[in-house]
Amino acid sequence: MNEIGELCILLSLGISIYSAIVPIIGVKRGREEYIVSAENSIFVIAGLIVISSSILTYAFVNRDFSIEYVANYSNRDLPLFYTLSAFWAGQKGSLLFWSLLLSLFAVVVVIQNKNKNRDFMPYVISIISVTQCLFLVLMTFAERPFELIYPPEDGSGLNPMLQNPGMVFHPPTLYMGYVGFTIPYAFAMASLLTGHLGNVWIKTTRRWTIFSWFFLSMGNLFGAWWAYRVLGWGGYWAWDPVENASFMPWLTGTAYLHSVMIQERRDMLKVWNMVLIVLTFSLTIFGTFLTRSGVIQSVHSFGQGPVGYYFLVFLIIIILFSSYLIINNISILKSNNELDSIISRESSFLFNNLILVGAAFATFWGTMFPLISEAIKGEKVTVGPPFFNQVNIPIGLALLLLVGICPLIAWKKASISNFKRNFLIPFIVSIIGGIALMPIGVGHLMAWLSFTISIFVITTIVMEVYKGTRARMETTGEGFLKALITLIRRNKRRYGGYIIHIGVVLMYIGITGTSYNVEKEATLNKGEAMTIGDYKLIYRGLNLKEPVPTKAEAIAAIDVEKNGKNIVTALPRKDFYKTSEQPISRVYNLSGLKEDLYIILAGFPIPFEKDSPATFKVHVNPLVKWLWIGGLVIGVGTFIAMLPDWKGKR
Amino acid sequence: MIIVVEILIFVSAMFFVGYPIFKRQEARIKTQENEALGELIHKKEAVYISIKDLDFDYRTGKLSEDDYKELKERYELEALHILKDIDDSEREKTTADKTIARQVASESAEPTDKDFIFCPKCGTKAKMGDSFCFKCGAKLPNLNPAT
Amino acid sequence: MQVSCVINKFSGVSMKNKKQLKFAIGSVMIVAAIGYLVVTGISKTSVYYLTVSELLSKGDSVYGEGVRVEGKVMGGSIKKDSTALKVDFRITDGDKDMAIHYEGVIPDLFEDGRDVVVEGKYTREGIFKAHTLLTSCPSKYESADKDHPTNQFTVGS
Repeated sequence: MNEIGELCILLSLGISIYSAIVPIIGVKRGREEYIVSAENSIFVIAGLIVISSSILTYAFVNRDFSIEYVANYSNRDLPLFYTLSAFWAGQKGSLLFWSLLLSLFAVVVVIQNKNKNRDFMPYVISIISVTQCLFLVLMTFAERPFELIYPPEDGSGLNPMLQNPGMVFHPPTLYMGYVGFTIPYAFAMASLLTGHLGNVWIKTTRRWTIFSWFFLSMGNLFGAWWAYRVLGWGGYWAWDPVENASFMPWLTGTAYLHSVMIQERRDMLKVWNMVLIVLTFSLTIFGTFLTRSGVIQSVHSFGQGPVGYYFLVFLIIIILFSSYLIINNISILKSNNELDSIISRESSFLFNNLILVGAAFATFWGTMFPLISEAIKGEKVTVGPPFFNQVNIPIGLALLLLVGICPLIAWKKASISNFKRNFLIPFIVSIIGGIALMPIGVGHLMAWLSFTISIFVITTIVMEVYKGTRARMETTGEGFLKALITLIRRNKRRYGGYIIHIGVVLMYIGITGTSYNVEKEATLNKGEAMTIGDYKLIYRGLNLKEPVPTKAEAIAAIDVEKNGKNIVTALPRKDFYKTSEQPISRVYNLSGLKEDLYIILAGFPIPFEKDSPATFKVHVNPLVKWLWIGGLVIGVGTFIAMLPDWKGKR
Repeated sequence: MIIVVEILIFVSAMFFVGYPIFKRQEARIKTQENEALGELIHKKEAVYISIKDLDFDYRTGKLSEDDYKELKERYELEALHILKDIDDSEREKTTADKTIARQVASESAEPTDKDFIFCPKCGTKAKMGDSFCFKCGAKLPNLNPAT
Repeated sequence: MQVSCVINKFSGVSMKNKKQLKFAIGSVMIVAAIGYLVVTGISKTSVYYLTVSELLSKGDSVYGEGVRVEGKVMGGSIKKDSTALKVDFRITDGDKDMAIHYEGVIPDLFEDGRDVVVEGKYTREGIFKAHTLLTSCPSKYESADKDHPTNQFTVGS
């Protein structure tokens, strides 16, 4: 079977090279059939990659340990769910998975553009194929997913830390976001290559952009959720280079998502949009390079193989190629229109863009600082989470303020008097809210600001929706609910966007809760208690269980009392696996809307003794749940924004 | 067995990729519209979105009446210009099509009278083998020059 | 082309320049603010990232300053406190070694021979007082991708 898998990869590599070159020849010679052949190639590549992915999946399910990748990432005891997710647990499989996504997206693009954008398609196909080549080259020469070994009795198993739902969904969603941005990038380059620099490419890739942005957001969020539940250090975001690597394209992608709206309406910012999409795509590749090359010290340890450098070469090619195209077209890209007023929605979008790109730059600088300082001063200097927090918190707050101001300002030109009038109510509401929040604001200026601005933003959005509904009720005489629904249906992007903004505010609230985190460590004898916040924890004993032959669990029982009332018996534990020499702490997390009680069994004397004294680390993390709820709300908003227009289909 | 499957995959992949090239026929009718026209249509849409936004902003009290009137007037003027441009470019397109048709006709090597027929409706000279008159669109009699 | 003509009719050149100027000022302010944040952030929070030998060769200047040091845990050097909240050990870069005192929750993956990164201060007594202890992954999973287990316990940060 593995031969067929290898053949499929090799064959797709050949065909990808073909479909990267042939459409260009087709354009030069005016031969439509070449382009059709390239389109067929896209289908064939997808078919081949689907076959090889199926073979790998089959090998996993069938426990075929003669394939090295299967032997290294699964074993006989691994449940089916995690066996399937082991597909993308390692480098080789994730490359194949990436390639699979790209090939399927390419098929969708070809089908979508069967009868339109015929001038773009040859270049789009070519650019997608070149990207595809990168992954196929890696899988053919450096990281062969179907490499054989002498089959061991049993596989080495999947790292227990990866056996978590968060880690099942985190890589696929993140990759979908990463791969998705290839499509707008390819169209942007196609528009530069054809010289048709209007808004066609932006309109064509609008949904792709929202789609990719959404999955990138969710990928990051799943990663954070996994870190919170599994890593057991009480937080979800540590500004590690790996996290920054996927945060940077998210920032520039968000900027791009907003600035294309101005180009659609005003035919402005063409150069800027080109730069943003190139930046976003480059950062997705850069992130992959960073995480797979080991150039930056990270607590996550990656393979330090040559794979990263393939991405670096590809990155350099992309940057040179794209910059050349942009510079070459710069005179045509210069827009005729100019901003009408500094108080206009356009300008608020522009400032939002500057801030987002600034945040991406700050994050980049901090992440790369060890390399930069070594190059300049010859000394390795690092910055940690304090740097990123210190820089990104004010930037984040400025951004949040803009989210609130934006709906108050009209496109093109807002009059100051109207702006003042619209500003008044949200301003008063947030001042009242701010005063009410004073007690918790003492000593937490940034947190207080964040809450106050959040109130402001929510008020403006609610008012905006309410006013729109009222306006509709007046003109059509509809009832409130009907007017609201038609209003949203008539303008899905606008209101989908507002819902996403509400989700973002909820996430800000969740993140701001971090300022009030409390943590405490204690070593308790059986029957002893500790208190933290409103909670009293009474240690009731330690037990050893063996649910499956390969795993032993040391479970501590803790009675949790809140304000004197017994609410739950918490069971934090430490798991010992036969396949892994290291124990893994399993957090007990009592999650509520107000706060999470997060208990880690940190240690107990080895060898194990029943009911021996044990050490616990306990966190009370306020408002964390709102971060995940915000993610859900963003999902709803994105869904609404992406809904197709039923009426007026052309 | 595996060899057979491999050969099967290889051959069918090659066939599917190569088929359009060997078939070598006008693969698909080009629905390509005039590029400039497409751009103009997008511009028109952009102005329409702007007018929609403008109305909305006005009704939700973000614009003063003066600004609203001034901007609306400006947008309507802009829309008018674009519509006019669209008309112009459509007219250009039809003339361009004619020019192309004429060029195609003149390019066919050493035209002799035998290679042409005349449209039964309007009398325009058309190339032998054409199905329709390029001027009036009438169906041309299908005369095979070989007979 | 026509579009711009129409617009230009409405906005005189001087008006236009004034707007552009306002805009430029706004943008410059944002860029400057971010630049300021980055520069002060770096100067306030940056720490040296050193090997053991580099740290020891730095001499007096290093005392009391926050640094990050990487090294391998020396075999048999680990002395854990019974509560599992304090540990003394030595790390080496193959050339020189030094003593570390760490207080906090000990990562699951901490053991002899493991590559670790400690963050803290070097004291005049020749002991490095660490407030953060980071361990890298078990070698078995070294080849796996980015989504790799990591254990990070930070105390008092």
